[in-house]
Amino acid sequence: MKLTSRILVLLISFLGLVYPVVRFVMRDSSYQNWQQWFFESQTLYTVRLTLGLTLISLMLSALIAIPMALWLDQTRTLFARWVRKFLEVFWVFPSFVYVFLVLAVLKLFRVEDIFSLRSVVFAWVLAGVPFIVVTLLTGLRDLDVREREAIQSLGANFWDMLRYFFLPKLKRVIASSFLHQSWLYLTSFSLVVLLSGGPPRETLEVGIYTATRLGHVNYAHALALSLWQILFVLIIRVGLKLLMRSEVKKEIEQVGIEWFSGSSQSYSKKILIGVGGLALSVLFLLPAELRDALITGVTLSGWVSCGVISYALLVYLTGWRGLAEAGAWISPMVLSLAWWSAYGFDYSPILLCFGIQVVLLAPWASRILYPLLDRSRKLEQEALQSIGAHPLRSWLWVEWPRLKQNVFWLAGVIFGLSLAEVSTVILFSRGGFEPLSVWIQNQLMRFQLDQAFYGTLLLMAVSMGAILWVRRDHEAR
Amino acid sequence: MEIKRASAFIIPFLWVIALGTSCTSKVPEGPKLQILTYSSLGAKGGFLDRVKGDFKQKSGCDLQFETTLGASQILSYLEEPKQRERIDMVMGIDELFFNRARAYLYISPVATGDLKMKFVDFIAARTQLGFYPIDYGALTFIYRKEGMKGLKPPTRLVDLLKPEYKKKFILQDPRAASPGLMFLAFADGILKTSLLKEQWLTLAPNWDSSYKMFLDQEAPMVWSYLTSLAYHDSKHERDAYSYVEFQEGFPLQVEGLALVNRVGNPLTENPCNEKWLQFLYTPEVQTKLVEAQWMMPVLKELPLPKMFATVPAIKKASPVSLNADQVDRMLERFAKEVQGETH
Repeated sequence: MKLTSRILVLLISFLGLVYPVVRFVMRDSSYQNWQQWFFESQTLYTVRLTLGLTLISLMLSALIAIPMALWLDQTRTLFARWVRKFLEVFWVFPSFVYVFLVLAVLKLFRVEDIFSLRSVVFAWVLAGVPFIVVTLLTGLRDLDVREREAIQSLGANFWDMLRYFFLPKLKRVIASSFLHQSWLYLTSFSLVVLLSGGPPRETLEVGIYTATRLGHVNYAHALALSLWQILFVLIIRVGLKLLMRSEVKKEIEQVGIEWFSGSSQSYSKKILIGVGGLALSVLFLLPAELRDALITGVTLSGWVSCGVISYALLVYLTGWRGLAEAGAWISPMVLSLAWWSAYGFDYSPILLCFGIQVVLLAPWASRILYPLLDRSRKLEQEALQSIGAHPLRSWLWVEWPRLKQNVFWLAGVIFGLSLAEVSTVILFSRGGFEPLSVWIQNQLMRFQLDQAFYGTLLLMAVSMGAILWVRRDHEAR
Repeated sequence: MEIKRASAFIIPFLWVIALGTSCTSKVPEGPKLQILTYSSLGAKGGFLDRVKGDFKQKSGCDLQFETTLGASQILSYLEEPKQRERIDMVMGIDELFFNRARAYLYISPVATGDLKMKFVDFIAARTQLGFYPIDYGALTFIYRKEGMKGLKPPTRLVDLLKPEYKKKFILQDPRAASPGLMFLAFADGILKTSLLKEQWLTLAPNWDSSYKMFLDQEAPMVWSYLTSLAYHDSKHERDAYSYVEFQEGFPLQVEGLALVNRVGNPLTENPCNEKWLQFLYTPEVQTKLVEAQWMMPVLKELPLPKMFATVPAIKKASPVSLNADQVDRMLERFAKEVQGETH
């Protein structure tokens, strides 16, 4: 079993990462100039800009998210409960949503210079706050209430509590949520393209796109930019590792689990069936172009969510956990380019996008699933096996009931992430293959905001529908 | 419970069917012509979509086309050897692009009759081997009169640097969109990018988005084609829009197509190439092209649609540098200047 899974994972890693990336790098002699491009002024400008924007956005997100999380944790009003629920859903929204929000808010306040870096920061903060709040709430739930009450009884005010209790206790959660958020900022594409106002305001991911898609292809420049991206992730990871030792990811891994089990609202089956029926009728009313995009997007994302979980489980069986994290080290744009270059025209685009997204989204699955798998009930399984149960059957009886809630929840989240994914699909989009995310991106690139808005609403409805569906399953039980 | 069980079976089943059908590539039988073009030409209801059926009927060739968002992206596709193998021709490129992509294009005469004689004089005078002009247009700023209240339209390029025009106009990213590159070439040597970058509202990724932004009143002026006025005329709103007449003149952009250079002669390798060229230069097809693209026709004796009557005559055309090396250097300089480096 272990040997088979190792062979399979090695094969997948070779075909999914090693071969396309090496081929991409070695495809012609242009890559040889990457060292020259690494310190070239254009590259350094992009690096500085990305780093600056990331830091500002992270700081602003923290300034808003930390007090908000503390408030939500201590407030039991109906309003606070709804804000919490809203944020829990908001953090999985596709980046397009933030474009509309930013445009709407800036227009409301009659801001003239909409297309600027300020808008990018605004959008990134909007995207960052919900995720950090949700993560912090999970961390806050684990804090010792008696300890907190004891400090309060000694006369500590809000700031004392923040400084001497919450921040030291939550630093791991804060740091690990920052890690996730930084990676999202470093690989942000659509938001920057649409809101920055064009050059020179390019972040690393947009720079890679510009170097390889606009005008003459400059692989050396793209490679230099992606190496900077990897370097940043490396610095952040090493820093966190040193700071937190081995417990860094523990809290963030609990986000899904806690979010899932913290639910208290039940959903009526009839309402869901009604909504499903309505959605189906809407599907037939949609313009053919949008309907095709929706069907393609849902098909791809459905397969990706199954593929990611299967791949993560397979990697777990091998014992080489690091392989599941490989996707978190490489730029989505670079991996797509590598696949495009290696397989681009020999295979169906949906298969290629499926493969890329499995590699890129596997870290999400591994971070949530592996801690759960680690707490496997081996004794119970062995007991069952001793009375003649097959190992697989014993696993299904003992482990699956414990895991399935989170597996379904994870499938829903990955489905949503995949449905909103643009960077990995845009290169392969041609002819009849235009998933919903790319369709929306194309409408936005043409400034067809009404159509893009309609598409985004549809995307959100489908992705939230998928999450609510798996959530309902759990609640029914 | 039954519904749940049924859905647990039906959903994966539907996915299998959907993936199976999406993976089955539809390989057309018989001769085909594969065109790489930009989004407007290849859009649903666009020019290629409109003539596809006619072409199939007349030539027996199946017309297939793929699109990129902007004309400049075609270059990066051409630089990918595997992509070149699949594409017969690129369409919607201008002369600046043609010169930059020469290495990948088939530079040889094609026997399509005496084409040059059919072209309007200005086009005939600047034909290049391997470049087949399909339409042309003069570029300038189109403005909304209402949005310009209290503001006189600029008369010289340097006027754009005046404080009153700050954030009042939209340009296209010269690296991504051909009109944007034309502006850069037109203004090269007159306007410094380092100064100009403080003035534009945004550099849109393509012409479509820039014009939509303009229509949505994000800015009162947009760099566009003079023939955009014909479009407004068709919407009965010609009086609301006007154009800027720079003392420097109007840069002219000629759009065309070119065959992709592969092993062997593309004309003998795929006869659909020549059939398409013959089809394209018929008056009926040219009329459809003009109507779909809102551009001026290259054929001399083609009657213009009624709306084009309101398009002003070009008094002074402005020459732009067409040398590929110059264009590349200009873009390189643009990339540096726009990031704050001055030379």
